[in-house]
Amino acid sequence: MILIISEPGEETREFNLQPGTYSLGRSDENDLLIKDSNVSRKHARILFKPDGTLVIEDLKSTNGVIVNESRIKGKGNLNEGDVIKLGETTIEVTSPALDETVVGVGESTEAGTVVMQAPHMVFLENVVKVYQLGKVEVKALKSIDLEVEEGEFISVCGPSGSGKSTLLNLIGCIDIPSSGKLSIMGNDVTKFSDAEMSGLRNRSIGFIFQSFNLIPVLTAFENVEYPLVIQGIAKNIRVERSASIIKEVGLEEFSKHKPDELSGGQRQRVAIARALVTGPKMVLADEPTANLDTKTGIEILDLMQKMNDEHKTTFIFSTHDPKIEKYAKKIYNMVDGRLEI
Amino acid sequence: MKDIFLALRNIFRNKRRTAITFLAIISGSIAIIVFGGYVEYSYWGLREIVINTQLGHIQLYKEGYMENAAANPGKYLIEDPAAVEQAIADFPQVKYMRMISNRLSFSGLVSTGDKTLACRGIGFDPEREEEMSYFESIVDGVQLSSDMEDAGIIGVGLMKALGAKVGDYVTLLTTTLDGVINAADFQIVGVASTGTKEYDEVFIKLPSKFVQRIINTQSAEKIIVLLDNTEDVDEVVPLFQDVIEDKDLGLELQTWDKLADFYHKVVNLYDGIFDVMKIIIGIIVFFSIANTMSMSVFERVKEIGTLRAIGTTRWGITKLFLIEGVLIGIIGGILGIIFGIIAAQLINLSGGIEIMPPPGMTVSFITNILIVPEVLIYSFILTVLVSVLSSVYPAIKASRLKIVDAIHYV
Repeated sequence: MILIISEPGEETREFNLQPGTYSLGRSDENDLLIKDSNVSRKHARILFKPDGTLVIEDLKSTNGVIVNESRIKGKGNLNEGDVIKLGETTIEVTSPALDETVVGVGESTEAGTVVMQAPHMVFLENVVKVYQLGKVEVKALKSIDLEVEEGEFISVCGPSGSGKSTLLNLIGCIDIPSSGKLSIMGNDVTKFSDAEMSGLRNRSIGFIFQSFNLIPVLTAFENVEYPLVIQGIAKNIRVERSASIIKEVGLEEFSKHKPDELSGGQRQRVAIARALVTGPKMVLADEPTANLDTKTGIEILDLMQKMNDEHKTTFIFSTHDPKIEKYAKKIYNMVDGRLEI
Repeated sequence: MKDIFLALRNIFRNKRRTAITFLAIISGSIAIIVFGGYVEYSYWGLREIVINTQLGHIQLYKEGYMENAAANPGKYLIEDPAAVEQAIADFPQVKYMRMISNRLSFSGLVSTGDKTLACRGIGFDPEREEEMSYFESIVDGVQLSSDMEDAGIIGVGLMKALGAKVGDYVTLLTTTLDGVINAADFQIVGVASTGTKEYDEVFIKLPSKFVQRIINTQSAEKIIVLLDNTEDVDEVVPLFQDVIEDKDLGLELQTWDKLADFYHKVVNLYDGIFDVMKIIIGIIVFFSIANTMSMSVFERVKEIGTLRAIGTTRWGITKLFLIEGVLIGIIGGILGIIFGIIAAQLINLSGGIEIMPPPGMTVSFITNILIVPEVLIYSFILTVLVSVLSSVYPAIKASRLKIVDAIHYV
């Protein structure tokens, strides 16, 4: 589902809903920030029920939630074509159809003159990233164009310092481009607030890091569970999902161990489980095997491939190891800030 | 709930640093509790001295005395003090009364023949005011008793200035109520110290009958009432007002609190010192916790980056560190109270601390540490508040870290 949000005095924007829960309101903490002064700080919540229906819940807001011109009491179902009104802000509920203009693609072409398509998982056009290193400007990315579709298994190869990490950071919404167009799952993330970015990362993107980046005070199980805690998911569901994903990565016996009691390979498995527990559309792995021996590295890649096959999750990983890169179904080479296929 | 759980684990992950932080909080709390307890004990001691030697809990005067007696003391005397005392004693609802007595004061000169000095005399009933001399120590000679007639007690400072000794006769010179100069001799039977220097330099205590004779009256200036406990005053005052009204005694009353100027000055002084101390302790604890929290943020940059990457909002990170601050405050505050009480009890068990004479006093005394609930609560609130405040900056700093830099931080 896509929400088309028209706030008074703001540009109309689109928000692509993924399964999960979204809070709406005027406070920065909301997944969907609405600056309208007639909207309460925590106004409403939109959530997908397990059966796929979309529900809106009024969080005791001052001015209420109006769906199709009638104020709802507590919760109400949302269907395609519904118009929600929060204060002076209108939100249309639509589904991503083929003729839907997609941020990135749509804006880059004359509407109606090209064949439109469903939103890309990742869409970059002419993306440039410049770092300020002291007084010197470093161009980490020089005009990157990239399209990634759902379910792909991609590697980005290149020597260290070539810009692989920078690219993954942009795709992972933990950094923003200096210029160019960046759209993730149809969302123009350059216009997102911090909370909206955080929400997108939490729900739709999984991360695997070179040095595992587990939280040392939490057990393997708690590390896996944590992204669900952030989402505010009920404990029984959290435990069930975490346990099942830990089983999938083969760490049931180690679920009560702290990260420092695990080997490198085991830690990376925990990280993979953590990345996948929310059922994200895409997992980004920045040099996932660099801190592992070759055998373990290959095991990790096998596991990633298995997850890619089973969950249809898009995987993008970076590596500088030629032995590893061949696992990818599509290989990009990063040379000096430019991407070559 | 999960946040609290995570915060607790983070607090105890670096045990040595946490121990040092708690040590700072505990030291601060001990200082507040012990000093606060000492101050409260001093207030109590000073208050009881003032009440039991000079003021009593409640004083009764003839109506108009408080406003006009300074200009015309002779006009505002209680003419038949015995009748008033009887009326009060008969009133069935008056309770907690330990002593009732009357006094007649005057100003005059006291002379040995060689030296003449100004004095303030009090005429009192030695038999009834035995209670009132509890806080007054006789340094030489004996206390006045009811069978002594032309005898008196004089303050230690006045005695020294006069150069007299116990057993000497001195002449008292004053005016009668009619303004006629009158003189009488009395024998010094004792020398007393109240601990208050100014008072010891001027006071003379004589039997009421002697004073009534020398200033030529049968009246009393005021009636002094001592209660069982100072805390009873608020309850008893309305009862006294009822008696005065009911029996139409034509009196007015004043409580010790309104009369004890000196006590209030000391309280203000000590309160000021205590406030300064609290601020200093607060600042020390503030920097100690702020340092811990900043180090903690510094050590956990990579983790913060990771938490942000997996979807924690800025506020989520801020909240995590603030909760740590609150928990450090609560745990530290509780430990502080426990150790503060232990320290106070140890001091009390070891026999208290000998304290230099407080302002205006001449004798040093042994002080104990009163354990006062208000001080305990105060130290707890201060600890929690300071912990939260000192976590704010590190927490905000943590939430503002750039995710990209933080993730790869080594």
